[in-house]
Amino acid sequence: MISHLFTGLTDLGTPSVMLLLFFGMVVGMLVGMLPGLGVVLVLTLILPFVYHMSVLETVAIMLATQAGAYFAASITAILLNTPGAPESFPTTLDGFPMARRGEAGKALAISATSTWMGGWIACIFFVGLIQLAGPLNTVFHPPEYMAIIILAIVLIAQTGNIPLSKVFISGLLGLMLSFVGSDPVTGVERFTMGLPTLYSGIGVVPFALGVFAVTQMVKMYGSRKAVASVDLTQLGKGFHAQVRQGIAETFRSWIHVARSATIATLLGLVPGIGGFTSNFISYGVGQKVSKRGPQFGTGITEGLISAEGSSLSKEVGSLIPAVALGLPSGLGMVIFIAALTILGLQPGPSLLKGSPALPYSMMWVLAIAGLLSCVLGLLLAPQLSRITGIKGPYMFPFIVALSVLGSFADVNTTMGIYLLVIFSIVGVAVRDLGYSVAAAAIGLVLGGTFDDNVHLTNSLYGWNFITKSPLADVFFLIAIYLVFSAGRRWHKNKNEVTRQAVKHPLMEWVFDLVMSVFSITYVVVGMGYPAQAGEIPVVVGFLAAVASVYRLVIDFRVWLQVRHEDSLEPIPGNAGPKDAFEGVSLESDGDEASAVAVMTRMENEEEPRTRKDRRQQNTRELIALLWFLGFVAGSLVAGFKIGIPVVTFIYAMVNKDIQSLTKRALFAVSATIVTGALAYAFVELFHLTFHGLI
Amino acid sequence: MIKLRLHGSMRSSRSKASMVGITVAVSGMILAACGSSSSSTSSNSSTSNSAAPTTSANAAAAAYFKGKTITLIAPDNPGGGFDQYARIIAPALGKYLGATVNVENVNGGGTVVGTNQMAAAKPDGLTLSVVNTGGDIASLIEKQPGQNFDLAKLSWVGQAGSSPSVLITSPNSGVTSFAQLLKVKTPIKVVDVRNGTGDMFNRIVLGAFNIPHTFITGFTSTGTLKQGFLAGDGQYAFENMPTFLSMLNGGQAKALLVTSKPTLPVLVKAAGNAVTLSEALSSATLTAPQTAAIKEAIALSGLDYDFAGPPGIPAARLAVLRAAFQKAVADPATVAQATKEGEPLGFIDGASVATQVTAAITNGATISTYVNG
Repeated sequence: MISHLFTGLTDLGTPSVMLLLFFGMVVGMLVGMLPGLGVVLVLTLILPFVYHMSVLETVAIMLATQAGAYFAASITAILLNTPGAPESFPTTLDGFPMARRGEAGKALAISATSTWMGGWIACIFFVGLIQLAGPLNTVFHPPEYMAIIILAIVLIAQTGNIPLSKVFISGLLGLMLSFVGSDPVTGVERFTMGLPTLYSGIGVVPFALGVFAVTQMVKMYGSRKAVASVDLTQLGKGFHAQVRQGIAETFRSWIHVARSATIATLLGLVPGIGGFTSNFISYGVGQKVSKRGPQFGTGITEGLISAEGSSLSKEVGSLIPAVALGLPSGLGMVIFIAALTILGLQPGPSLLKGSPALPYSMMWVLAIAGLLSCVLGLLLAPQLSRITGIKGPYMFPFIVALSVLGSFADVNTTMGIYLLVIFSIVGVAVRDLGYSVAAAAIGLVLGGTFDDNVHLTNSLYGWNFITKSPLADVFFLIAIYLVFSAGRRWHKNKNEVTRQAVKHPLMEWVFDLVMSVFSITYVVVGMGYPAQAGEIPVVVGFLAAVASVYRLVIDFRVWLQVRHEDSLEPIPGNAGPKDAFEGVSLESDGDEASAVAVMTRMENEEEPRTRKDRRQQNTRELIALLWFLGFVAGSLVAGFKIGIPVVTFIYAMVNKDIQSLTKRALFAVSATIVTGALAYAFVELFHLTFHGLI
Repeated sequence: MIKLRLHGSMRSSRSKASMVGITVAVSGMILAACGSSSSSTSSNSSTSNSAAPTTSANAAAAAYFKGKTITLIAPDNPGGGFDQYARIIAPALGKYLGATVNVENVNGGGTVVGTNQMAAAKPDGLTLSVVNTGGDIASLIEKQPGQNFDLAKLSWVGQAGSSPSVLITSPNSGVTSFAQLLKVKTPIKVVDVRNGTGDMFNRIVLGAFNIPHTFITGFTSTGTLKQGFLAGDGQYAFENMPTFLSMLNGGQAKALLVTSKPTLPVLVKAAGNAVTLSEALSSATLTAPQTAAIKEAIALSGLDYDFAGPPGIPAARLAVLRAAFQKAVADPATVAQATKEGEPLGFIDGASVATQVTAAITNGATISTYVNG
């Protein structure tokens, strides 16, 4: 084995392989950093070139692209609260608050260092586990898959001080959206309203771009502010010092890296879902076991490391079933396996026997690309950090253009853009209501897998699965314990929540009403489908309807109370994350750490202080939304190549945030060139077939 | 690109925005550069050949495809059998049409989701898909929900090839031959993708030969099916041979029965001493309906990897597509790549496929007892 390990490394020592490794890593980083460009899109683009490559060249470019992309996805998560890949959502929880405090350099350094360290720890596991992949695979059956998905939702939901009912609704909404499209088992179209463009379902790309990227841009346009709440010009060389500090802190907190890397590697072994759930579960576990757990989510090192320690390690872990059994953990690995098939290789035991050094070459590619991307990330961190000093109105056209283009490219139909519009509007409207975007994202991404595994569990064991799957039972028990402990905490603290905690009582109530009507309609429509295709959606929709009606009743009372009484009487059962930020401490024991956490979050939120300011900000946010719709309309009417640059030009020229006409013109020209180039690149590169209505 | 300088003034704001812009622009230009090189490759190659129209309508139709982008739907994930055929044929098809052929993976429902999407597209000849014809006919006979298309009305372009399907078992099942399987008394556990070719063979073969069995259904693709098989959720599975190639070569599965004798050396080796369906039929004593069902299954096994477009593609365009497809299947690069991936090629023209499809639907009654059982 040692000789294969060594040979696996030396085999990579040809110029073409190293060049492709480096190229792949750089392309991956670019892709990861640009919201809207998913790694899957780019890997698919590389696939046709594989016909002309050697095995090692293919391995180098495909895996290095993935390593670079998943690391870089954290960069926008930290700097712009926009995860470059949905898996990177947990990075936003502590990374973005750090950036707001002006500590982007430190956050990026922690991210890069812990990603690399985690990846290398996973490589040690890889060497030990590659020959055991077969027996390990027999541990996981459909009940375990169901349990892991539920555990991931429960764990991530614990991180936001969100009432159980809201977490529940968020996760269920994600699941409900995931069932839109053709049922993967029977092929029956569900909830598509007869639209063929919805047959392939609702993608996570328009969802993530809407609720993260566009929502963040609308907010920043509204406030006219940059991400960082401090004056970065005062920092001078401060970012360099932050990078050094970040590296040092990561090394001091190595135990958190080791824990996350271990969890992610082991989850990476679970084909199908491990790759996506790893970051969520390692972050959730980190919060549970860390002494500073209550402060997770406020921008602390341990939180960020817990999320980032798993970024690369999950890729290394998922390589094991992919190579040893031909079973991928995510779409990235699916395409990698397809590339190997094109070259006439069949991942599995025959590959392990026939090319024993090759799996180690793959591991080394991830290790080397991980190290190089970390070094590059650290070198770029001080400069990248300065993005947090750019004000919203200046950043707006670039991110919005990328979002529109990325949403379309995801499905190559205008449905991608319509979904982006819906998710953006919903994202802006409900962002302060305290629903869990993470739970919704997990539901949306893994809903199909959840559905399949419920069917399979039923087919294999029926209800008897409880006695047949001890490992699943353990996961279920942990999930139930976490739900009950969270419920107890909320029950204990419900009386501490004051009217002050209710930020948008009318909005809360309106959302509940919409959600109730939506869920009930969903159930009614679902009942019209054949049993095998409709039963899971109906059950999920029914649970969502119950939870929504429950919230409707509670929030209606709150709204009436707030409207008619000017008292500080307790309002039972209502508190979102913002409530926690603004209200009194909501943590179970009222400990000091929790109070600090709440205070820190309060400081991080820069809400308008007066009613007039709030009104002004709301108006500006509405204008931002209209501009976003302008970008959409421009694209639909004139196509991307013309619509996007033209709307960018108009946006920049009429933007009163830039007072001088000359400066406005200069910005307009440069922004138009950039967005035009982006539109051209997307259309040509991804063969976008839509060219506008005219 | 990365040297941002921040100041408090409006000038600095412009600078900030410009610098972000430059960063994004450079990224965009790199991507555009990649894109243009990719495009130029296809356009260069596309000029070397073209379909040979015989009438003015065909000439107009041939001209129609030049420079166009065709979406070829592979109704499974990258690396699956349908995806492999799609990617093997796509470059040559593009070459002979003078078009760019993009493969789009639409996975789910066996292969029904992808075929539904193709059938719902505009019948302009620019959307095609690889169709799991045999499996779809079985699903039709079973009256399975999900098919939003009429197989008999699809615009059949042609068949690229057909690979035998194989019944496999895991090494720990204790069964090493089909003859031994026929003697099994307790129900065997079979992992199964509903709506697929494998599902059809499972039902006909296990049903007609009276092998007691339980289906573990709910797998959405051959990928998840393999996962379930390797995890031990079931000890038997029936799918086309290339799907199980690595497992057969790696000793994780043993072939018991193949629907037809493989010809490619890699498949011959993987099949080992598995009997063919015809051999199994000749050595068993079955009733007339059982024999008829098995014979129909053998006929259906030839309906595989057919390429089609939505109903209503204009005749001239369909003729051009068929001509280009025939050349694409015979193209030396196509043949070399198919051999490398272990996928057999065998051209059947679109008109013949259409006839076979109609006949198979008509003969469906012979298998209906089994597929509906």
